[in-house]
Amino acid sequence: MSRSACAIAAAMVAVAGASVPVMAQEATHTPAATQPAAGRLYMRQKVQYVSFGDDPSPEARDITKVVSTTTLTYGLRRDTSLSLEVPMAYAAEVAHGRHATRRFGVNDISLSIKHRPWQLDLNPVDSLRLAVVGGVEVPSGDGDFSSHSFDPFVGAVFTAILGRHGVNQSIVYKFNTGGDAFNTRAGDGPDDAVRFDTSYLFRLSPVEYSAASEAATYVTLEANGLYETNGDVEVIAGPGILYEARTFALEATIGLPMVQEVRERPEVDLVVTLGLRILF
Amino acid sequence: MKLNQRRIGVAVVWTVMLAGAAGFAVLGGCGVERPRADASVNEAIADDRTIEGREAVLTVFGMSCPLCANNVDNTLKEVPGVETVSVDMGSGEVRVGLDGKTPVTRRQLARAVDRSGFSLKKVEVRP
Repeated sequence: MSRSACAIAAAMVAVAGASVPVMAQEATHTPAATQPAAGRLYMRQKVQYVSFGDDPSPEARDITKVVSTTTLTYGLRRDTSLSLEVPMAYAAEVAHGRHATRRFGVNDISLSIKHRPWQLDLNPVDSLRLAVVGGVEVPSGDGDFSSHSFDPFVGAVFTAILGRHGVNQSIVYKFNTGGDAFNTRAGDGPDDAVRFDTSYLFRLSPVEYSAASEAATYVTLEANGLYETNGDVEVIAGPGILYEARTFALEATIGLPMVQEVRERPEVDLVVTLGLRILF
Repeated sequence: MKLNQRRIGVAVVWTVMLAGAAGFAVLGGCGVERPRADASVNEAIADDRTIEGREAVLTVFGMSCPLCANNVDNTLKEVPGVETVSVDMGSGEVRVGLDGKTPVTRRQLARAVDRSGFSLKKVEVRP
């Protein structure tokens, strides 16, 4: 792990002390058309365990990865925010069933801007929102963890919260200008990638909000798709749970491959994600 | 051939989901009457006079979760002179307690709600 990456990570932990999130009704892997208030900073930490199956590379690797992603979002205006995402990964690989390799490093960081041009708040709870997002993945990662290229992306996300139900639908196109084949990070190869994510959230409790409501618990169902212009396609889907208090939130999801036709990278067997959002 | 059928299947599923989401937006956004803000909101936005009472009650729409409510809470507490804020997400009622010493205007409160990203629908001042 490079010194610069350590410095970024330390700075992110430090500034988290002033963070205030408003990225609620957002499932674990699907973006939402929500953002922090103007002048506010928000931090989110996710840890993801990924077990891979068949590897098409000549090494026929048996791979397990743990990816820790820290996201910082700053509200520029009530409807516009800037985000910095820093993923750090630990990968354990066994090639040909013999040579074990363990690597730890920073993946490429992403910088993005999100603007919400349309919002309709129907009543105290219900809200419809549409946001557009654009950004770039910067070649800042360590060694094999980097695509070594600037990869811009654009997309849109729609969020509907109606009573106890919430739906998020997102689509993002990433122009990959570089990258290596057999990369384990989906969408990070040399071909362009389209992410299409859908999530549904149902508020288990409280049934009705009141002045005494201090927390809410949701069950989530997500379908996270990725199509690459080399023809690879995958959809990882699964349930999750989200607990939101006034000062922190916890989330956990399981993802299983529903559709997986990949030839350029290893197949995903299982994804388990834990997330934490803290208000200081 | 099998791969192509799979891809077509995936494309159909996602097209249906996207169309569903778009339909949801159109029905929700166009089929439902857009709630209008109370006249008190327009007055508040232009009102630079100091609030005479000790409590302002704001009606805010779109606070769909506890963290959202906390954001409104914190943004209002940054207004000098605001002592307490309590949010009822069910009714959208935000009670703002004033310290009675520092002058606070309705415009400051309206602006704070706007910066938090939600919709202010009504402003009342209580003694």
